[in-house]
Amino acid sequence: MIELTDVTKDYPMGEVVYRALRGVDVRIDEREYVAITGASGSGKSTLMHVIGALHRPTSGTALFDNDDLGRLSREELARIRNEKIGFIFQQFYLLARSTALQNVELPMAYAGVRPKERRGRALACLERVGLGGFTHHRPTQLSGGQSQRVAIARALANSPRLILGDEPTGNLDSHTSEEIIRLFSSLHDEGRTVVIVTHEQEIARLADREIVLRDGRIEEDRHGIA
Amino acid sequence: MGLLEMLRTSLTALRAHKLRTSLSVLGIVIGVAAVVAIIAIVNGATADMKEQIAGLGMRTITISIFPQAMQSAASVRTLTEELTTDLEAAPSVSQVVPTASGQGSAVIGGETYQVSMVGVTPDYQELFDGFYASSGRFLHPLDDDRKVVVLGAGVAEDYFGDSDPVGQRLKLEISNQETAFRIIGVMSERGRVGYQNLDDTVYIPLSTLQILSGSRQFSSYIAQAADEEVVEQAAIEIETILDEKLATTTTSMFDGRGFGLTVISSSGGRAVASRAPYTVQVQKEAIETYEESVNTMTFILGGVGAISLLVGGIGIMNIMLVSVTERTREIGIRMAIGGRPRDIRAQFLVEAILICFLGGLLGLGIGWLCAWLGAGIGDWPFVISVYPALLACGFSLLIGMVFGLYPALRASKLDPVEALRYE
Repeated sequence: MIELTDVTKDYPMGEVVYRALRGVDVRIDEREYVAITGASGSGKSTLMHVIGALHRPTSGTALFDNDDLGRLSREELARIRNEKIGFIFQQFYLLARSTALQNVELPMAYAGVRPKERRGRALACLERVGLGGFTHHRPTQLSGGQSQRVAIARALANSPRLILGDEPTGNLDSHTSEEIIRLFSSLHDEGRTVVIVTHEQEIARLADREIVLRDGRIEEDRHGIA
Repeated sequence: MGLLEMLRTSLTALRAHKLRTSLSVLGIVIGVAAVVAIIAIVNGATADMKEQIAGLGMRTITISIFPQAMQSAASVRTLTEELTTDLEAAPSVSQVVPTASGQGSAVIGGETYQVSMVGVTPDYQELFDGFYASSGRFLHPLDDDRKVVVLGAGVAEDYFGDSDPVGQRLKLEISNQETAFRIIGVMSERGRVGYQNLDDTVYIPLSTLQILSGSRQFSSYIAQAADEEVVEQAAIEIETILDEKLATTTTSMFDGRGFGLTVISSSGGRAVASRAPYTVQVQKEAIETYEESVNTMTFILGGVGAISLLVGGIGIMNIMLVSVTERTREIGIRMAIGGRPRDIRAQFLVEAILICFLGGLLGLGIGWLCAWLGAGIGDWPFVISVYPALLACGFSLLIGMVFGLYPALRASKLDPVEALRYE
């Protein structure tokens, strides 16, 4: 599904250029459950942004379903994010002025799904994450755990094959974290590819595979820990 | 994402900042209101003025001779008769009616009122359709030199109310001298014609007025050309006759004081500064002159409105840039979940256009309200025209597009990851 070959990623930081990834080779197959770990500044978020088609690599190739992400336009990258990827972020990133339902509907709106069908599917997604009764709540009326569930429902809206979590439990207490991680595991059980960036070992241990980054390189790539 | 949805999203965003939105749209509102009001007021006033001028008839030529050209009461009288005969003899002229007008006061039942007084010949009545005596009669050639008066409908109603004034007496003050007149008739309502309101006037025989006022008066002639085609020809003939006549009759008129009058010449709107002691005005030219000055006014005021719209547009751009910055994170979220750059661009563009359009509508309403109030004050018809309304709405849409484009482009060019991290 995803194949990175000698990927580097530079960020200009004022005068100097910061190299966040320094030649990463990794292959993630369909239905894998992967945790990306590493100390802060190790490049794990950058790696996720490249995998998630949010950033094009500076050099090397990043293939997503055999599409070279480095050669796609911004419009085409947006299309891939919309159809094939569901993002879940540490800060939830819900639209504050929209209800839970509207937030979940948004990716479908960008995909051009008709309003009627959109509503039905959004309701099903909220049902799926256990928030059937919170459709008209706004993010400010929701707890952290509930907000993250809305975000997961939104990630599921267009039935993507890849779920990307960037420290999805970073802002949650341990009990809620557990529930959210269980949700991730069930998404994997349903046949989706799941990639989670985390610095928590307990979460990484649940995955089938752990990729450890250090200074922009893969330090370790362990399979079958679960 | 459909247009309807983007409109809804935009409305939500605008509603979240009601005060800011209202303030930022003020420039557009004022600009559109100004343009719409100006156009409507000018249209109304023009329609009114045209109707009044045209009310005299397109064949009409107005001749005014200045008092300095005349000498004594006797010579005024002789000159008037001669001029009338001479002018009527001109091939393109069918009728000439001499008049003399002046402000005076009337004493009715012990009270003094200001009235406009016109000395006319019996032919005067024939100049206007639907102008007849509703009570009593109009002046007759046998009334010459007699102290009789015919009242306009408004004067009769104002000063006599329901009672019939015919047969009653009133005193008119002419040349500081009060003279008693007998009322012999009241005219039908006819309203304004040209620059004069026929209803608010009292009519006395021209000969009587000339005797009482002496030479210091303005005398005019209303001439009718044989038909509309020869109006300009008639005006030229009249000028020729006046030049001859006044030059031979009065030697003291070019006494070096210099009148510096403008003659609106008959030959195609050519205005020539001249020392001629008269003016000859053709109705068509009067309308053209009026329209010219109205056009200049419209142009200037329209320009002011356009500048206001421009300033309003810059205000919109400013507020949209602020909005893009403020909503950087929202833009990042939208991009992360699959909003394409063009979706983001369209959203902000729709928002800018929507603000401007709403401002335009509001401005249109306010503009019409001002025009309606203006029509009430100025006593002209309130003309609502579709064209300026469409223009105003179209123009505000255009401003939204032009000034919303740059902020929208900026929003669409944001990097999704950086936008998400923006605090």
